[in-house]
Amino acid sequence: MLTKELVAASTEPLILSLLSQGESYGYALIQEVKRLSGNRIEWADGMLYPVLHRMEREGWIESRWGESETGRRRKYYSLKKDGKKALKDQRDQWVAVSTVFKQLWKEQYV
Amino acid sequence: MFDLSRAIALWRLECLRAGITSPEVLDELESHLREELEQQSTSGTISQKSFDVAVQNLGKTGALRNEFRKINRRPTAVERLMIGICVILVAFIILLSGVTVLLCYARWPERLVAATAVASILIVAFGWKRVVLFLPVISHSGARWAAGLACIASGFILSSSFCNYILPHFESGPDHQLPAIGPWAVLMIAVFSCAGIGLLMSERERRMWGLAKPSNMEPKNEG
Repeated sequence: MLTKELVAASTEPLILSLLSQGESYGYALIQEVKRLSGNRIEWADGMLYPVLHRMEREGWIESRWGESETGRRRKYYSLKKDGKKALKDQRDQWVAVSTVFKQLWKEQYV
Repeated sequence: MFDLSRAIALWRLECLRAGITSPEVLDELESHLREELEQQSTSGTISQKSFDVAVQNLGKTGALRNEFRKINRRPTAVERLMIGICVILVAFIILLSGVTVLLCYARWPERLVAATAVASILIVAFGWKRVVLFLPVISHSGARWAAGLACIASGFILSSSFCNYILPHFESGPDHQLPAIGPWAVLMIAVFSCAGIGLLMSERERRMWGLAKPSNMEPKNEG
């Protein structure tokens, strides 16, 4: 399991990255992160929504009410232009950190 | 027999009591809850136990409320104080304007012209928030500042020109007292200053102050 701090820090870039693949909704986002991380990243279900709302207020994402396959109401989120910019910025930062770690650990374990 | 509708209604009531009052937020959380229940129940029947697990997974209502409050926070004590000071100032301006109109202008037509100007200034001051929605958002910071400051300066230039070149033609009497048309010069400054401040605001600042055009986020009235 990842630490609470790391999960919190990675929430926004993860949401932005997932939404860059197409519009989605809260429950699906949680499940997708769980699947991709092999259950190592687990968001507290309800806590995702305040983050989504904050990101919407920031103008990174937008939402619309739609319907599920069974006709139930569902709120879909999609990435906005500013969100794409934010994703690029955040990706650059994470890549920079990741590159440093890769180099450090490569040297250590060679 | 487990009654899902009743259980959800009770859960929504609990959320309301905890302070999650936005219907849109409650609808979204309910949608999540139903999604979770749908996934849990392979046989199609939902039990009290699976409902309790779904509610538990969603998180404690108090913690959820605190997270939402961080986004929709209420004004702090300092902000409330500032709002109070603004209200007092506006009340003082209205009172002062009323007294000035009554004392400085002897004739009722003049009083009416001056009072209309004062009322127009107040309309601009209170209504500029709505007009900002229609002003273009200039993305380049330098261009935004140039356009905003130019707009504010234009108000002062126009007002000054109005006072120096147009107003003297309306002066009456040996005391050269400014006629009631004078307050209209202030209106020009008010209009251009408000437009200028609007132009100075970036998209992010407009969103922060609730002056951005609403996005397509209104829930449809379905079911």
